[in-house]
Amino acid sequence: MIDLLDYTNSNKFKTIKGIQGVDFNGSVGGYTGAVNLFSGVYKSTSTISSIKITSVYGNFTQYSQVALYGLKVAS
Amino acid sequence: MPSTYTAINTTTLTSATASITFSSIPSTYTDLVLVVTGKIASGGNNLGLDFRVNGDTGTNYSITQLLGDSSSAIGGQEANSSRMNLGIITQDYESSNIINIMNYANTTTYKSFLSRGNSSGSYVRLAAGSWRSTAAINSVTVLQITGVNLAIGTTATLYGIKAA
Repeated sequence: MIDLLDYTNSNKFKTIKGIQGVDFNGSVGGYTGAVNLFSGVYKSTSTISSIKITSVYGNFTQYSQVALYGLKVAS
Repeated sequence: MPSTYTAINTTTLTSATASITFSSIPSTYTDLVLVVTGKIASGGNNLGLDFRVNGDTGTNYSITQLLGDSSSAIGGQEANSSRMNLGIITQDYESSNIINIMNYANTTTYKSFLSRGNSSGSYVRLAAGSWRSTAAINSVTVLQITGVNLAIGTTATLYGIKAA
């Protein structure tokens, strides 16, 4: 899960934060599960208008799902 | 919660109770978010908050976690478990737990969970959980596996969030 903060602001670099995890019920092929907390920055003041998700290991498998939600402060 | 979250149900305990269950969860959302705040009525300050789905008490759950207190952090796993130890709950300090349940209504993949649990008096936990079933999730149960009761005032809220 990744949060993109203040993504339409055109005056500052864009920051992201997230958590991710995978669990294998032990291990699979020598790989155990992992959890990760991370943050990042996109060094551009441009408004974010698109997001692309890729894998360096090849294709995403069938039934992989991605959902993009917009969060809006109360008016 | 943001306006994109729809509260499906919420419960605040008026008496100490062993578990909280949300059942008949509609399948119309994309993901679910479960928020639990509160304490346990007894048992001390070093307990996990546990979760089951669809009433399944079999050993079909597992987690991978990072658990830390004020001085150190450790990683760990629980495989072939009868529940997912995804959160933190303590007797003397309020705890907060947020569990994201992804793609809960699909019937082709195992179900995955991401959680953050914390209590100022004990630990913080980041965990990834898995329920090895392709069944759609239609109920969620919050409990403490040792059998101690959740304390009066403990609140659980289940939100549905829907992609555009």
